[in-house]
Amino acid sequence: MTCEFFLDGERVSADAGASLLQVVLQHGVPVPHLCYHPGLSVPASCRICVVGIGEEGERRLQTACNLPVEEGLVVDTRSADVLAVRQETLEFALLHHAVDCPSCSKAGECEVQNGVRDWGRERGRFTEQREQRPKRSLGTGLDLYPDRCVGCSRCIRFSEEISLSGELCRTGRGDNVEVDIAPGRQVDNPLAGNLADLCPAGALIDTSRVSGPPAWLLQGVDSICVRCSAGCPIRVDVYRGKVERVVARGLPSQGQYWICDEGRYGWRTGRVRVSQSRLQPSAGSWVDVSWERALEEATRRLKYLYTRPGEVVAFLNTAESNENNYLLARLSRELWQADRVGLLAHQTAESDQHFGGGFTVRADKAPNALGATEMIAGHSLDVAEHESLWEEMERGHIRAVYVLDGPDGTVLSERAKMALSRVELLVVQGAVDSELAQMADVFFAGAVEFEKEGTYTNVDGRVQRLRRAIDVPINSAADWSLLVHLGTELGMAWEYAGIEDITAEIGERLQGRYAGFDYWDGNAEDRGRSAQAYGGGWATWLQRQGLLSVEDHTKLVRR
Amino acid sequence: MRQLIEEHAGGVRVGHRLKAVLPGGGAPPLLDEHLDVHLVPGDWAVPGGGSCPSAFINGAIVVMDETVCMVDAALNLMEFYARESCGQCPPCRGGSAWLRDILTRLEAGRGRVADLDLLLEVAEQVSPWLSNERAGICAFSQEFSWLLQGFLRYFSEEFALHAEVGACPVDKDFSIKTPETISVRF
Repeated sequence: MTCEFFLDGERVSADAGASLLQVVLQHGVPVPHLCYHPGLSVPASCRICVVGIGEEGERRLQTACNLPVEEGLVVDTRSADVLAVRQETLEFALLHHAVDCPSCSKAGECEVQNGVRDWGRERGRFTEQREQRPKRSLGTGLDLYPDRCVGCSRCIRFSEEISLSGELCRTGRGDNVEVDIAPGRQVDNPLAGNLADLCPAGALIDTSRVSGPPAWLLQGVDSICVRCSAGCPIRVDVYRGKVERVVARGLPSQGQYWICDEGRYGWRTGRVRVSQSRLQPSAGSWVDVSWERALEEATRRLKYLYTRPGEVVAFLNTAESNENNYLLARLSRELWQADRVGLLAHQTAESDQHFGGGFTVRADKAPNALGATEMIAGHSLDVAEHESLWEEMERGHIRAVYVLDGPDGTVLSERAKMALSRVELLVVQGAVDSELAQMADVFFAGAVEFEKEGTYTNVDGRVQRLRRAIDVPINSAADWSLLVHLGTELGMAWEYAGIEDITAEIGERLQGRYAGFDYWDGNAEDRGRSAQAYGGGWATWLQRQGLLSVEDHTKLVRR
Repeated sequence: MRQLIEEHAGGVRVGHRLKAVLPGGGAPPLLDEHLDVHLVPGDWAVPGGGSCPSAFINGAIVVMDETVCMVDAALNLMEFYARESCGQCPPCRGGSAWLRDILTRLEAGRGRVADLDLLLEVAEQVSPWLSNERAGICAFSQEFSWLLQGFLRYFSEEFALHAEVGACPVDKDFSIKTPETISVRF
């Protein structure tokens, strides 16, 4: 039920019963807060989000986070007494904060730092001795700096409510309050990476970030995670063309605020990027070529081969975008006149992992299983059993195979290897060195997830856009354009000016959830804030003045 | 109140005069002139809105004579509050510790005259004098902030003297305060 209330004199409507702070923030009115997080319970313990409630005469100051919105509420967020109380409370919160911003790797994206800049006193009055507490490790990749903690308890609530591991606790009383870990335990739950993001100060630090470039030099690109079929919203932070980290983006309309550590760190290890297209004229001898040359070769041999329907078989991939799968399905149907395609699925975990707050890590590790199936169905194609395809290859009925290999490669069985070695032409479009790439006669170097563009359909049926964060290396190509070139060379009358045309065509042809997807705008809720700039502290200012180099700042950071 | 102290409790020691009374644990101190008050909530500023400028909180009455240093007494109380603050909200967690730290300095002779203003400002921003408003979550923070404001109201000269002299100017009588004679100290 919606209700109307007055926010700084303006009439505003919102859901009755929603948290006032959340509504106010959604209306773009800044209110500082430390303990409040939309994905966690509301303890209302930091007391910084005070607003004035009520008309003149009955006016009182109250914290906004735990106040439900109701009809006719009169709220002011900017009167002098409100600002004064915020300033004072912030000062109290900071008394035992080390204020070592120049050596803190949270600087630049720190809620405490930004809060003090926007709402705090110009000069502190606290001249007493601050207690120094040494940093300590809470687990692999996570350090605790107790003297930076402002006691917001977000991390503790996260471990109790979301990761359900409950290893963090609060010890001590008064100004000795400290976040601590239960004896003999480590922070090793699959969502532990969120803790460093959550911390509004720099008390919990992701050790892999300590020596990296500071936050204000990172360019954030809003994207989605492709490490499982949940398709969580992420932000990819890039510095000088290199992906520095992946963090949760938060999509309040979907109630999504977290990502798992697999999505956060999984891309860093375990694969060998192949950024060079290549030909294999005879088994085991590779010739590196430009992708144009590889395309020429593939076109020539495919033209020569496709004589009878069904002789060329495409393998679509559940880890590839809707656009790639759509184009390849269309090629299969319209050019190679096939009635079936193969579909590479990805090794799945035993079962979904459920956490608190409705967060689930899916067992299906392919990001686009639903989308790929729908692209195939949209062309009236069948998904053929792999066994029968291997058999046809061995019998020589299938002469050429075109495979989309996902960004993590595909593991092949012995049977599959035997079968694939029998076909006359194996074209693989991939990005990593997999068994499949090793066997390819023609290998197109495509893109890994951060270099890709496209839409993905997650397990809940949401179509989401993956945005390109970094450029495709030379001699590779954005994979959708590879397929468009291939199709055109092979004689399809395709006129796609860009990937958005393919998305639009999918929308027209498949309707349903794909209809009317505005590529540049994404879904209304999924609007990107690409290249988002961070608010920086004084270190930003120093850098702008040329007084502090990035390298120097990196050296300053406390390790 | 006067009757309770002088008749039922025997009054102040012979040869000494009453300096201050803490009417209920951590309630703001009362002077001699305030003592003609009934022990009913309605006559007290908190909670009854009465004229007695203190709070009717609990029954632990502390009577102090001129051998007690008011900074020391305030420090003793603030140490208690800083220790007992649960640490959940910043105004109480930070405020109690900050006030304690300033008082420690004052009592040890390392205070500055400006500390008096700071003490008052910090206490007032935790909660104004005997007001319903407070920055913290619960009434605990109100208690110590009123307490300190009370001390500063009546004994600011003694506080200032600490800063000016650079030492505690009060001739303390430790004879009745040693742990041997008083078994329970908070």
